[in-house]
Amino acid sequence: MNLQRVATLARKESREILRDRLFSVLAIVVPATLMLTLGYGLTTDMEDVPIAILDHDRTPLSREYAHKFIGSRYFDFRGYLQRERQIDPLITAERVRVVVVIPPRFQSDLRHGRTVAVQSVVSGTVVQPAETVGGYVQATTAAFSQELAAQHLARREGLSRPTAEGRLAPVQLQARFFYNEPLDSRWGIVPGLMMIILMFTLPLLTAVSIVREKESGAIDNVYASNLTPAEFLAGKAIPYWILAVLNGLLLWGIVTLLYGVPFRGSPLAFLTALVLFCLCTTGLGLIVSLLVRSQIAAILVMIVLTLVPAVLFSGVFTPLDSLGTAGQFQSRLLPATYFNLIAQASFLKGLGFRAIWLEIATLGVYAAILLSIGWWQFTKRPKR
Amino acid sequence: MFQETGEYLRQLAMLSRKEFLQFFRDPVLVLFLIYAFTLSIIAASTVVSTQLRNASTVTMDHDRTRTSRELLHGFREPYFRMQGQIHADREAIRQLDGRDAMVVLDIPEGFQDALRRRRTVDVQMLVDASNSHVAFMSSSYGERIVRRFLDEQDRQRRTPNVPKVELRQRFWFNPNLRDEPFRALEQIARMSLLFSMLLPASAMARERERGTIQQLLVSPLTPVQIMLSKVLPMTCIVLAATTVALLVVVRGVLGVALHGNVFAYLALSAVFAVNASGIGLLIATFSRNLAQVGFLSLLVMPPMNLFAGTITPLESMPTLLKPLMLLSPMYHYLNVSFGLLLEGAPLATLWDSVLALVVIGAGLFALGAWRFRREFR
Repeated sequence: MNLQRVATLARKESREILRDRLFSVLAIVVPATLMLTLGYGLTTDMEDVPIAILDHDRTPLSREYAHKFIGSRYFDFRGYLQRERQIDPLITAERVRVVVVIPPRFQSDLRHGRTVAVQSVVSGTVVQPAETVGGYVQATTAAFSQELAAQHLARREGLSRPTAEGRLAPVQLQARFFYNEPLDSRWGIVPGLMMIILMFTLPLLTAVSIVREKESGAIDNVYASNLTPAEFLAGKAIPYWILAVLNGLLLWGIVTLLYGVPFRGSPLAFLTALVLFCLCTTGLGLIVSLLVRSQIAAILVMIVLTLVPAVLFSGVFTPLDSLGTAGQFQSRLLPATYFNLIAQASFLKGLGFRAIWLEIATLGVYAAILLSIGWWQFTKRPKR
Repeated sequence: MFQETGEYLRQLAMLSRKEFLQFFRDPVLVLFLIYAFTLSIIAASTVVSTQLRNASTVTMDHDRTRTSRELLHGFREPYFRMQGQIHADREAIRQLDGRDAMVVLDIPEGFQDALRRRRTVDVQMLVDASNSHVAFMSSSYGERIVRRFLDEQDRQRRTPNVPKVELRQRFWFNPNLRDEPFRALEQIARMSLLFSMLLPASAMARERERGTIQQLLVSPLTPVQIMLSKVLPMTCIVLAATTVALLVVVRGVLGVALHGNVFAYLALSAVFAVNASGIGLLIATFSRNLAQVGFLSLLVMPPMNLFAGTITPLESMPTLLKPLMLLSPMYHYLNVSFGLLLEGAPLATLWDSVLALVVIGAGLFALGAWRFRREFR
């Protein structure tokens, strides 16, 4: 490989990027803008869940129960309903997300020490919010039930409140949340977004720029020149690789400085992973550019090949444990999954080289494989 | 008058035919269209779940009694999966760090004894909270399991009755909280956005890159005809693909029961496709070549895909971004798809989203036409 030829080609390529002003501005602005909007808006924390209550009992005790929801910061009370018929349209049109139905004789049954069944209606169509809301209603109801039972027992047996509570719920589950102590969904999602954005913005740029030469016929100059395939690919890839790494550093800054996600691990280990991951994505862009004939096909193939798997299979929104065997397999095939694991380990878990060397090495292997495929695919005598 | 209209339509048909031909001559494109509306829908809906499933769990049982084992027995599939016993705190952290375990349950010594004497005892649950939703759900399910365990203990001891409020949770339209139905429809929407936005935009940009747009403009064709000829063929292709995806893939292969009016859904899918092409054409008027089209689309598409209400519900969006979500055709289209097909709602209940789709679509199209015309005057 003649390094000087590579350098010349790389210089020509970077000039071309810089001269297309809109293009070069977009190359920096698009990833940062996406990080700003997506990072700001994408949260799975739910507060102010719109709730309505259908109280068939209308007694002081049923109102006390209702007030557990009305006063909670997790719920936004939208009013009492009068009839069952009102529930359906409200839920379907998403005017409210949950309706709690308090049965008749709620107060008198409870006063007699009996069990009362309250009903909650949630639209299950979109699963994750439904699950969260279900959890909130469950927790609120359990707390109310326990308080009531403790009161009852304390009065009946003449015990103190703590003793009564101890008798009723002798086992307390104390959940301790590691790595993300405030349970802020952004802490988990934003470092993952860094991966998602790097995964689809820059490789698209790489692929399109090469296919553009194919479409316009400028690539014939390369076919006719004394550049070897390896030199051509390296010269093409290096400027985009550098651009990707610079973008990665910019996003890294946004994640820690703007969103306040702690970075607890080894910066050097993460930087290594970042550089290798960007090499992977550039390699992916190269391969796609060699496979397709038109720019539009390059854009579509890149989006379907990168955006969808990066969002769905890499473990940012969907926990890896929850994926079935097929999903686990698919996700293990993606460099994105490894980079996401490294990001979680570096940002939240505070781990260094010793714990994540295997993932970093995997990224290195991927980069080597992708570039070799690119080299093997590229031929100076294409079939027409 | 009639003759003029006939001529107008004939010209439009000719131009559209050219776009059809061009599309079907690109084999990679056709292949990807087929993949996008078949396999990608199956993959996105069957493989992916945001729910807590099989969370790898290890235990530190310092008590080792029948009672402690009984409690641990409650932590099982589908939510938790037991991966075995460990003995030291240090090992627990190591397992969490290395992602070998997501949950560690720590039962203190003297657990059974404390229970017998009715003294309070704490069980610790250490959770890897990198994914906060899953962490919250594991503690939520954990509490339900402990409660059930205590109820069982009470029954065995015949503890006197105390008042209790039980919650019967009902998840309407999807009682078992299956992911497939909504994810399949969401993926159809994503793919339809992708194709109906990018193809017209790129067709337009290509004409400009090659200079053939000048020829079109000096011809007797009007700018609106030129725009429509890019939009209509793609809308037809996407609509055909959506129909196949819905009837063959979603209903046939995935076995999702479709409750509502399929025709209304398809009609609104066409409206959505026109919305998406409107965005695409608008992007095309801002860019000089295809690469710029691709990049500008990247600025628009991910937010539309991710701010569609399936990850963050509208009420949880930051106030600044709420209007953005309400302006997104994707959000309204998903509302309508879910409402019509999965919840069996009548169109009347969904009128606001239908109206929004029509108004936003008309607005986008008018804006695109205005910019296009101005540019070439």
